[in-house]
Amino acid sequence: MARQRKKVPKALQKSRILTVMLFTAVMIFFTLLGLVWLLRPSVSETENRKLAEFPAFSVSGVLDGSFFSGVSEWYSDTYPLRDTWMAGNDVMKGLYGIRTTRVIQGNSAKDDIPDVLDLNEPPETPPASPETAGTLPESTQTEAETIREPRTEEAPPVTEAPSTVPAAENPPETIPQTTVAEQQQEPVQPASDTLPLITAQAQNGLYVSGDSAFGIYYFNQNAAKIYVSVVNRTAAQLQGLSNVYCLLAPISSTFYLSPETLASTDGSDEVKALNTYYNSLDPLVKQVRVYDVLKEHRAEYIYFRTDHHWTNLGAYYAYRQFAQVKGITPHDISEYEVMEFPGFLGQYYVFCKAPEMEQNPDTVVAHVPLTYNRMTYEATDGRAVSWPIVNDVTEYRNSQKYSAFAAGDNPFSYIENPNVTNGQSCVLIKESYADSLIPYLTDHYQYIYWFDYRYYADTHGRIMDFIRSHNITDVLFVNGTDPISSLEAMERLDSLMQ
Amino acid sequence: MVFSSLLFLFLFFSINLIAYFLVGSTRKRNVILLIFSLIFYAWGGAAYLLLLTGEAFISWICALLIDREDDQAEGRRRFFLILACVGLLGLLGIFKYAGFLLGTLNAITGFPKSVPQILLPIGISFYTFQLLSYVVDVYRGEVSAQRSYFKILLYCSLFHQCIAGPIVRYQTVEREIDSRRITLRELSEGIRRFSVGLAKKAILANACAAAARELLTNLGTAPVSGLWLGMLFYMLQIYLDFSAYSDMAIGMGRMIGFHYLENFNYPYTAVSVQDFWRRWHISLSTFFRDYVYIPLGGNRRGTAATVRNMFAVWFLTGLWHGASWNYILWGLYFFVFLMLERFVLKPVLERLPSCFGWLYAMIVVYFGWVLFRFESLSELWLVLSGMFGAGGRALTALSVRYMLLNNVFLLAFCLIAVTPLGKNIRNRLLKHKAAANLIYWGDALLPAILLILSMMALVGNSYNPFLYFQF
Repeated sequence: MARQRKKVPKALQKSRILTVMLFTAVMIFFTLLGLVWLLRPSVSETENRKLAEFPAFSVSGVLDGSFFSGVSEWYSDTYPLRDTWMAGNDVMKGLYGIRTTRVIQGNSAKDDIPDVLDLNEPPETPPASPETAGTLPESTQTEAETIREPRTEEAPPVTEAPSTVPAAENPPETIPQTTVAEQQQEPVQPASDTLPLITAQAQNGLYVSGDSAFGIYYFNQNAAKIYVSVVNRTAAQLQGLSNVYCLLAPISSTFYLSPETLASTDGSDEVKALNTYYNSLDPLVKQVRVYDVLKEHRAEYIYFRTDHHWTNLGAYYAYRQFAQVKGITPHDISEYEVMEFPGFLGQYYVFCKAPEMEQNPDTVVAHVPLTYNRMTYEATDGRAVSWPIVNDVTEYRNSQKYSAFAAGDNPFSYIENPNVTNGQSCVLIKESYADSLIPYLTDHYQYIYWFDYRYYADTHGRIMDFIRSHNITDVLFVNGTDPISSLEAMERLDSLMQ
Repeated sequence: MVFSSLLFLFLFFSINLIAYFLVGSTRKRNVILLIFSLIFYAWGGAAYLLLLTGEAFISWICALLIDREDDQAEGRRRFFLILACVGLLGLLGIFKYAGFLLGTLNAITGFPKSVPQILLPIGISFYTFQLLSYVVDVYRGEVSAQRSYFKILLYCSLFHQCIAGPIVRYQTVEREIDSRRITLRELSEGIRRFSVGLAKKAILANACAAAARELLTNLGTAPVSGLWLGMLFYMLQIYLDFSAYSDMAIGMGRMIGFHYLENFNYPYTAVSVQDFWRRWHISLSTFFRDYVYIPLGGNRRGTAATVRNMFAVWFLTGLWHGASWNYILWGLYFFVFLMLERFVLKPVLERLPSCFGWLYAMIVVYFGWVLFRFESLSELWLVLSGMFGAGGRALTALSVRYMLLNNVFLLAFCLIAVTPLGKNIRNRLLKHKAAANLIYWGDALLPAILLILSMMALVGNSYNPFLYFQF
């Protein structure tokens, strides 16, 4: 470069000085902010998950770098004011394009839906594709990653609940080893790292429009075959002992998206799939078909807009349908005491963060059971905790309000209802769709036990043995169509129900 | 450590700069740089420090031995050159290609029974090539051997470019290792370059990557338009990502007085495949030109030898990008088009308006990225055939339409960002005094703003290694 330079314009010189000063200021600010340990969050409210923890030191971790990558992850994951920065980023992302309606592609391939499943042909187990093997797809980790809400309820007397699970007629086997104890600060649901990896919700694509999101349904034939086989097998093995019911909860898109929109979302036809499921069931299985009744009430608030679950009202109509199949008289909706928890922003919101949802969140409405509002749940560590069936979740995080029902998802829970003495007992094989149904069932059974097959790990022995030894009257499969489209989940169910 | 991480930006790099500017002499500053570089490298696994320091040692000692011998002892000079090449390439071969070779062998002959899983040490492809170029340049008498081992180690380990390029030649920084100046101009321009690179990666490339990832899943059923759009996002992503890394390296260098050569020159404005490769990853193409193509005789030994030499270069270019068949295929794919240009297309392209050449080059490059993206050949075929409607897939789907709509401004911005349009407008405006003053103000604000925006984007996306880390 020539020695003789043009004189640098003053403005340019000033600009350079300012460049350096501003850059230095920002760098120093963020460096200092990063050093303020106390401001580092441990959970992210908006993402609804536990943030990375500082890794444990180990020499091998240093040598192979895993310790350092853990430090990097911890540093950025828990950076102070994380949620504020994320909110800023969401604003920036809003500028990428026109974002009023979005379709987020799911990660699962869909299969063709036959009219009836050929159960003689065993489900193929295709080599796991990199997208589904082992890890949750990054963008759609929802259910399995949920952080659990600290308990807010007042501690009841520890002696209130019995130390063993009451059995219907037989003398109870010693079921829970632990005494029932209330631990205020303990989370309801099992910690995510101890969970079996179930990609139930993660399979779904999402159609987001304004303040509402709708899951896209993908039919998986192999998963369907396993599911139907498990239900049929259970019915066959329990023939003469217990009634086996099957209730499939559809997802909201089936009711709210037009057929044209549904067809263009690349998902499967859920109505057809529901028929296939039911048509493939053995006649021994009592079918609780809820699609038509829900469709009839689609103008009502039967599904959340920001969450994949049905509302208590959706569950209530399902309950009426069940009552009809079982031949009992359902209670009228006006009989129940109502609790309302506004401000619910469910898993769909966590996933898509639509600002319109934030402005118009859902409200969780709950009906308190008429006869009894006390249950016991067991966490993954085996502790048994006494809990209200319908709980006040006013203080819970926005994303956690569905936990108002049945203490959220735990491996094993039960209700012994002292105010019902009909001797009827029921076992539910369920995921979270059943949670909002349980309050309605409470008034019809003396004993209700429920196993969440995603988390249950034989802590009370084999489920089939449990059913037999407790002389269970009714066995209910209450399952969402999307969780049972997960092959992993169904393989787990299959092995649990052996 | 990756540049696009909060830990790097707001702990490592900021403290590095503070320490650097606190000490006075270049000698002490080199010590600071070396310490930081070794920490930076150790972050990817302290065990691999052995490899880095070992390769530097081999190069340092061989170069010294080559330089000591006078011209009469050509045989011995050559011996040490070969020794260094065997050492460096041998290590690269073991760590990068052994698994691939044995895996291929196993697939063909069933031997060996088990293929060892060797993890690719970070940056090995880059620093091995840097050291190779150093030793060869010493052998050629283009530079003299460096007496100090630590300076060679600094040269190859300098965190600016050690793990993802550009491949800096020793001669480029030879003098600057010992004496370099920091000026206000260089400092401010370095800061700007660095910030632009960071934003390019943290905001644009990552957003394109997210779009590409979403569109390129479920390859068996993804609609035709989804595959095309997904590959367009990927094409943008890979350039924005990789050139961002070079921008940041060059920017960090300039802040403290190093001048690394440019690595990209708007490759997506190329008007032929040859032109593309003059603009894409320049430090790699010139490496192969200077250390493979020309030593083999270049184009001076007749057509057959030229073809052979080109073949070697493009086979190696492909292989360098990864130990997998699709990368080799990718290299050879370009070889075919370069041959075609040399022997057939060149006169045609020269006569046509340059937009035809551009269109042709971009189509070739676009499909090149399809080869590049899918390491499994079955997936590759699924996508390539799917792009033309095979497999009974839909032409389009709502998700694709919304994907486009949701990212339409991003896409437009990126398409402009890969051209020199912004730069040209800026240069025009700088000629008018009033506009120039405004631009100066903008220049001053830009790095801080980009830094904050990038920071927000990085908080949102937990872990985003650069694409070129695997090479």
